[in-house]
Amino acid sequence: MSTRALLAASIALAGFILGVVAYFVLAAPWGFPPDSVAHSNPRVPFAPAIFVAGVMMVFIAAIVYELWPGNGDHT
Amino acid sequence: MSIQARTLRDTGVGRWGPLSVAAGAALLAIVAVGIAAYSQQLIHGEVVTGLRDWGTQGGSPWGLYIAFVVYFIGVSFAGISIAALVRLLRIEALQPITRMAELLTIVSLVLGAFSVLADLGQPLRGITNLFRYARPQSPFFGTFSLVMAGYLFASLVYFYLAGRRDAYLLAQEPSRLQWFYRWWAAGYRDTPAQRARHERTSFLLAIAILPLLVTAHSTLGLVFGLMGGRPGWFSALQAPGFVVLAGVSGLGHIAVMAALVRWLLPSTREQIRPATFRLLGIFLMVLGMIYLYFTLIEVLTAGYAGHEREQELVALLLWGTYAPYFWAGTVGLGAAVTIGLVQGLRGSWNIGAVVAMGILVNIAAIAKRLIIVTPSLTHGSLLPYGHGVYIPTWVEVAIIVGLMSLGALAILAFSKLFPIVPLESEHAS
Repeated sequence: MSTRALLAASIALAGFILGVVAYFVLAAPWGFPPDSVAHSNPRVPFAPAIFVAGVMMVFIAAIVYELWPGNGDHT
Repeated sequence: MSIQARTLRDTGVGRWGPLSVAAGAALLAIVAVGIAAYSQQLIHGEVVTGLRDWGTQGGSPWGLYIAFVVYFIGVSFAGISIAALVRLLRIEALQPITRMAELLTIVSLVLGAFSVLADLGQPLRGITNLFRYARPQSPFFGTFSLVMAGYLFASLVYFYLAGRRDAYLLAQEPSRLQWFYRWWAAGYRDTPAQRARHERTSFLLAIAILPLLVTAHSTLGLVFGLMGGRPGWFSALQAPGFVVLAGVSGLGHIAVMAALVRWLLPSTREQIRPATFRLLGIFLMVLGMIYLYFTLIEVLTAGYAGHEREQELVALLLWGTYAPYFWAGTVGLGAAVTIGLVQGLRGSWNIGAVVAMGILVNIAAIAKRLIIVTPSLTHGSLLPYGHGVYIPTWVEVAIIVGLMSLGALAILAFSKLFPIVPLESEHAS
């Protein structure tokens, strides 16, 4: 695997993991009743922002994959 | 004259003719009226709108703004899905309209976000608290995170990467915007290795975007569909209905845009061919039929077996206060499907007729979005309150028209910076 592919895959994987962790671990816990205070407040402030950052990272990987300099870029 | 110089001239990039200037000035003036209206709302609060709380205030807290949030996000659906499908299924006839479709997606998503902000009394507080306290599991957050962040960001990435090749070609020729094209190309030289890499990236992006699209539009439908205490909204058909109507309105917009570009830039006529409109017309017709079927099933189910409030709401839609909107939506969609059927039976698709289909489905989509949002709030309460009334004020109308003009202005301005139709492949050699 080339450096480019490895880097892009790592960023995509990191973004995916960040999203999953923010969704299931950092955000408000799942449970009933869902509108209770215990199930409404995030466990870590700005967990939703972390989730969004994770989603964005997955797509940033595509830019890194295309823009990372390498062989074949000049010929 | 070099290929690139001829290309630049033919695409209309950098050329502001009298028509463009007049259109730009008119759009700018409407945007200014919209800004003035929004400043009134910021100064005096939402009392200047027709929005009131339901129940004791006898109104509707959601109105034109939320109807247009749903509409704008719906329009965005077709753009990026066309780009993704062209990539995955290699539909050559739609290739020339991919850039305008992607642009439409980005612009309409931004307009959707602005409409949400217009609906909030305290927009800054809303944005901060959304990212601080929201529950990612909620359909509300799903809509705003997946649509506004994931989907918009993914579309921007797709749009940027897909435009690099044309940026490289344009950067070869001296122009005032050469620095901009160089920045966009970011080292792209159209080598076989770079092309192959772009093929792989866009294929993977297309695969990633399609499920994101369906999820994002379904969650928007679920915002309404999961409201068990709100007759008219609580329905399993809301999510698929949102996806289908989103496709219809977006495809309609693209058909109108493609015809406009073809008319204004004669050099694009060899690329945007009648076959493009034939495909758009077929998609519009099929999706329109599916949505009419959904409408029929919803009305039949709620009208025949729904509880008292459900049946009351159906009567209101069929022959009550909201009947003009319901029938405008249904007849508009029906007329578009009929035009499509006639053309399909004749075996020839007329560009003007497909444009008419596009306009009709969008009038229908706006009417449908209004009757999705408002009647359930004014007349759908299960609590013993009287019926409410919602009449939008000039402030709301001016803000929405201003937003639409802002979108048109953004597309016009972009078309003067960058070719709105991808340059032909032979220019690469």
